[in-house]
Amino acid sequence: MQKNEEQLVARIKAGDETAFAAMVEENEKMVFNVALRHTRNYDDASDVSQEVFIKAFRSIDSFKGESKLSTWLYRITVNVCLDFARKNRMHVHSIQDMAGENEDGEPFELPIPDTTYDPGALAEKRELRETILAAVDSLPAASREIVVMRDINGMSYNEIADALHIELGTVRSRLARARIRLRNKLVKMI
Amino acid sequence: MEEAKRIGICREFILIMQASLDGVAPDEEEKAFRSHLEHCEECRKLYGELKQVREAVASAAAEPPADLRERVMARLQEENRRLSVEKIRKSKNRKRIAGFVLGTAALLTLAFVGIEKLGLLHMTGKTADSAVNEMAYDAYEYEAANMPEEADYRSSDGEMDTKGTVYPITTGDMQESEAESESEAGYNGWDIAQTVIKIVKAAGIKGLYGEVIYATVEKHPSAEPMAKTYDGSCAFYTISDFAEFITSQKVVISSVQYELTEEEIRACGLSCGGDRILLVLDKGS
Repeated sequence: MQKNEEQLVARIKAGDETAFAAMVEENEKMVFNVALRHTRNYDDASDVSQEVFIKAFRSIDSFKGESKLSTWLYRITVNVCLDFARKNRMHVHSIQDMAGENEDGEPFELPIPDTTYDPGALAEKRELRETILAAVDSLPAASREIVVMRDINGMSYNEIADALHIELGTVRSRLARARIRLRNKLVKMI
Repeated sequence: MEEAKRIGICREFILIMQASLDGVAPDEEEKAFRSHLEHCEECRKLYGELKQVREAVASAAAEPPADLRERVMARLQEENRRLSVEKIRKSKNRKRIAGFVLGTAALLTLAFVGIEKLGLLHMTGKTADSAVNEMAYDAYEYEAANMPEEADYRSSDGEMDTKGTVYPITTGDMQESEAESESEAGYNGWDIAQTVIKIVKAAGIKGLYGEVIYATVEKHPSAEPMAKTYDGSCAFYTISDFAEFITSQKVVISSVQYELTEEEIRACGLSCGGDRILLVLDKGS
């Protein structure tokens, strides 16, 4: 654990709410995006995120610094999401992968307009974003998880390996499988 | 043969491709991969596509609500206030029990002194003191067992609050836990998972909301608990303590690290789907 993080954790353990607020600010985007991909609902993700940080504060003494704080928070987030799903009688199931490849032989391009002044382009961008997220949401659980961790939350390979208790080689292979699945889905959807 | 060999080489590079996309491939692998790209149109095409997908997904990341932090802090402060109220209430209840016990002890002392004078206690081999202690302790246990649950759980506004409930910490007998630990020496996460699943199944627990627990697999001998609640208020040093807790508290166990496969779940005689039971297990240091 880096020294800054060590100091932050020590202050939170001492009950320093300012330090805790700083931790929330640093990690809220990661926590929220993990929650959003699980709950698939903005308001629920917000509720889950709040729950995560409260649980983190209450159990900060159990954080031993063997992993990064963000990794620990990630684990709490997934737990809270699973708890939320069970409470709301949501079924946690994996969607069957629709294996397939583009056999057209055409170049696969993902148009991403780059302008903030064109309303049409903005709407197109929003629609594209929703399409991408729908594709991510439709991935099998393990694939979705690793794509969220790496490509949405920017976690490093080591952090992913630590959080999931897998080897680095396994991170690579899961990521390969997940990204190729995602690419195949997007080819069908766009 | 040539085609199969070519596909085999490309498969090998697909893994390196991910690391290269993320800029974390070791130098030698990166060099070999770049060299491969120069000769392989399919890999070049796939690399370009995956790069676009990766960038598109990253750009789709959502921003959290602007007031999330404020809401978290407000909720924390509200919970702290509520916990303070509960502490005061429990403190008052403890004084009430202590008063009851002292009162009972005083009466019992008088009674046993009387009985002792009559020589009856000598038959049981007990002294007046030990008999009073026993009965006073029994009275305390009775009172504690019959305390209305509302006193523990109801907040000042009368709402039942099952979250943040403080349970007594059960440290157990360290000798006993070590002896049990020896018999469980070398157990792994899967052993724990199986044991807990059997317990949960036997207790008929299914889909009820409760405290989230995680179990820590520790090396032996160890003074660290094998399982504890997320808020750190309750710790368990033996499987039997843990079992007692989850059967009494209607706990749902949820997990991330050891997600059981459908086969493993079926092997425990449980059904898959919505009532899937997962375990949180952290490897010990």
